[in-house]
Amino acid sequence: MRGRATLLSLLIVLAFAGHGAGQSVNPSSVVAVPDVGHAHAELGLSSYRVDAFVEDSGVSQEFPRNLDFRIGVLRLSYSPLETFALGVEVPYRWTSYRGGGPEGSIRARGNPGIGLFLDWAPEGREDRLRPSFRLEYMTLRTGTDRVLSVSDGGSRFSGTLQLTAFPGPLPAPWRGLASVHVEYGPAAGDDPRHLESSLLLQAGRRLVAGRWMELTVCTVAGYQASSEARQEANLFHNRTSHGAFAGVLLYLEAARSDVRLPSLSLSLSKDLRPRNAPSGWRVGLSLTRAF
Amino acid sequence: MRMKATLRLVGFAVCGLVLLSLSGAPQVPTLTRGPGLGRVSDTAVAVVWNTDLAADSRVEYASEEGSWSTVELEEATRRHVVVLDGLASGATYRYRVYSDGIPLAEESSFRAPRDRIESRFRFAVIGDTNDVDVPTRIADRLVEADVDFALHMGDVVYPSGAEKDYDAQFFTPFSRWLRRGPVLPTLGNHDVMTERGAPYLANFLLPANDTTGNSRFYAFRQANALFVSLDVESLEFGAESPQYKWLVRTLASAPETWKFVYFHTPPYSSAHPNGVVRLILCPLFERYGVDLVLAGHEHLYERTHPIRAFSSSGPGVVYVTEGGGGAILSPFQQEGFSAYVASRFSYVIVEIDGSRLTLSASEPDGSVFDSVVLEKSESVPPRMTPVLPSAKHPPPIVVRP
Repeated sequence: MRGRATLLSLLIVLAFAGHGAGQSVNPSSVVAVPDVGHAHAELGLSSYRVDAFVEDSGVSQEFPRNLDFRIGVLRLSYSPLETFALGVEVPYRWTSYRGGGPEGSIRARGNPGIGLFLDWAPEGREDRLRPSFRLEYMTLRTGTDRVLSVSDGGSRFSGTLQLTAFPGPLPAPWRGLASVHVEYGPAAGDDPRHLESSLLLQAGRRLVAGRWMELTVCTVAGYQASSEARQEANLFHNRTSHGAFAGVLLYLEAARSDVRLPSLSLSLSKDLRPRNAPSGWRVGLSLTRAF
Repeated sequence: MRMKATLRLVGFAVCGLVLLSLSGAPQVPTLTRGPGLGRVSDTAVAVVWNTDLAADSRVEYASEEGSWSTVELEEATRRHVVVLDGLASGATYRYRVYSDGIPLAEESSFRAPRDRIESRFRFAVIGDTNDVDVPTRIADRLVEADVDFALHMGDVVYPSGAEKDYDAQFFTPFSRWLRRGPVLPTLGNHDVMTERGAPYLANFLLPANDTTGNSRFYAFRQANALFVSLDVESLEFGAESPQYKWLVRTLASAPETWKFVYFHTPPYSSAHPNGVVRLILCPLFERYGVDLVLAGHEHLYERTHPIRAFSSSGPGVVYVTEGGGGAILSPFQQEGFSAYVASRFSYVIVEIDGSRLTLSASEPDGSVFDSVVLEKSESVPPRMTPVLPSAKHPPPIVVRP
């Protein structure tokens, strides 16, 4: 009952969170807590090619050049207690706007800051949805120009609730996952406080099962919203924005829990009906391994 | 009894006579707006006024030493638009307006558009006009500065660009200026809130573009300068849009010494920049040699260093935000590209003298708080020299003999 209330509260927060879209959601990345005394490493890569910016009215403004946002994230966590893990996140961003013409291009890259997170995956019945939580604080460096810099200088507090349906209520070849992410950025300088949120759903089934590895394909869909759209592009960071996305996701994972091989996930998704937000394609990749 | 009947009869007769005399009184049109001036082409000026009753339209006009000419339209209307063409370049004309033969306003004067061979003129920049006091004082300064015309950076009427607010918020506060010269605006985000800017398009007489046939975006020429107004609030301006292609054609074919582009939201701002405009349109401004990009939206005054290739480290395009026309002032956090930024009510005067441009930003009382000179030659991009106004004698503009 309490779990349902928590989920409902998070969904209500999501509904009232304003609207935003950007690159921050990498469908390939999931919360994972290693066994006690063990560590977990994740390398996430995401590339976002923006074709246009879509106004609130639906008017689409096409960019004459290639606008790309890429982000690499290294997450390391360690589990000192049963079901808990402490971790650190180090992102690195590349931003570029290039194309023909003598007017130059924009290239920005660098580490925007560092994040600390706490993961919790409480024990639960095998036949129920399995929740896991992540609380994170990320401090960001001040950018020199807020439009295409790799950091806007604001700190972030975020919380993620993930519900996994495998193993669990779904029969063996099937898998499903739902994730709700809420992010709060306090006011910084001239920029007011903001709230971002996203909902991510995955559903699919195992395609191939080998002795060591298995391949699973999923469809993925989500929705992002922000009250002060600090999306990667920061194109209109003072306007609310929102948008959905959908795509496919492939998991290549160890077939059994006793097989300690790295897992790989690869996603391809497209923005759908963005408003006050960029529109484009994104490719996400996540490589994980427990130690 | 007979006395009462007689009195009643007399009463009816008097009432009847009064009603008869009232119904037979001649209906006199009264001025409800204007007169004001519009600029419909590079050679013509339109005189515009509204009356409470439908009536004909007549304008008498004369150059300072010439004889009076008359343009008359017989059609009875409440909105009167009389176009005066064939004017001598840059000449000052006196004019009077009449409807049904009745003079509606005191004689005023305007200056005709200047043709290409001229290279000296002055224009004003205003933006985000709100309240009554600040716009009224700015209008007085425009008259004193004797500019040829004023550009308006959008958000002409708050809160939603509705027709019902135009008189109180724009035509009345600016009436003193509007009798002397036109205001050439660009669409602001508040202006497009009512029927995508229909009242704005109906109220301003502007050149039409050859792509959409209306004045959502347009260009005009004055002396050795090209002026381009864009709609970045309600229309596509992306790479495949008709507006973008029109802009490329217009800038590429312009031989003018000076090129000015203006629209509502600033691509470079220490408040909230429009990053989409920056990425899509600013490379075009550099490619085609635009000298000054003017915007509003943020309720402050800001001037950037010259910017080229998204960097302010050398010669390039200067971006000016003039949004201090009376709306609540905006906070800002000064960016590296910003040469001067101040959250204050203001207007800008730009004076062109051949290849020299002087820009002065002033408060509504006329005191200059920022000034800069741009100089250019045929082969060298404009060079910017900030001019620091003297606190004692801050000249609002450089007045030339």
